[in-house]
Amino acid sequence: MKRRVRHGGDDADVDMTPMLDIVFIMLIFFIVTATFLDETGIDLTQPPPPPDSDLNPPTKSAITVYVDGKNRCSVDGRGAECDRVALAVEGIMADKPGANIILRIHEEADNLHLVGLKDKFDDREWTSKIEIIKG
Amino acid sequence: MARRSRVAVEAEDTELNMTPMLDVVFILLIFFIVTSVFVKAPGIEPNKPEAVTDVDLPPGIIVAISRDNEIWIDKMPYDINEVRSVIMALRDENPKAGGMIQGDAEAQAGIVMQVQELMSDLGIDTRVATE
Repeated sequence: MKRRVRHGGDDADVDMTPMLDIVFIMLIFFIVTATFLDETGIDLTQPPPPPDSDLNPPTKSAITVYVDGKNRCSVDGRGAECDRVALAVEGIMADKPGANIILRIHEEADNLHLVGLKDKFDDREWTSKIEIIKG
Repeated sequence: MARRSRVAVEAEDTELNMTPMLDVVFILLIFFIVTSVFVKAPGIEPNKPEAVTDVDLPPGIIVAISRDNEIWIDKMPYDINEVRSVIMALRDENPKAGGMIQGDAEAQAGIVMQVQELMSDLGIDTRVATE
């Protein structure tokens, strides 16, 4: 076989071993450095403020959900357990259909409540706005 | 004796056909090159809150906020006042990158929203990471 090739001449074999070595090294490098990120997240981007011409938007009823600096939740001024805020809002929502939710969160409250409450409102397709209370 | 030597010569001459293996190796190589993302890991692993409505987002810029409200980017803790310039540098490196804020469940909501607003302000599409 080898002898035949040598005699043939036109069918000269290229030595692929060095290329194979390089390819393997690259393959191993990319396998080792590959990080499969499966990050998930929710969107907390606030809608842009309305243009100046729209200073008096049609007044829509709103429900205020407040989380204070010690992670106590309240809905429209009435205290509620943070796990039950969505239920409380649902009850008020029955009286004020289509109301907007204003999520007022003290800056020292936990991220858990910010994300958790926003997630619950988004899950029920309620429109909500986040306000951070300073101080 | 003669037979044995003939067999040995034959075995030595047998060449494996490497072409199919090479094909597979190349496909693997290309797959790993294409899927590799060089993301600067923040260096800490915050305990992220859980959510139902979260969506997948391949991030380019990751900012982590620990439970002690330290802001970590690329394995370094930063102060809230320094974060802007650090994120601007990262954005200039990779202008199309999305942002991800990995806030610990016990981090302050104020800090998370401050970073979120800052990143939105810089034109980065930002999400807050959930489990």
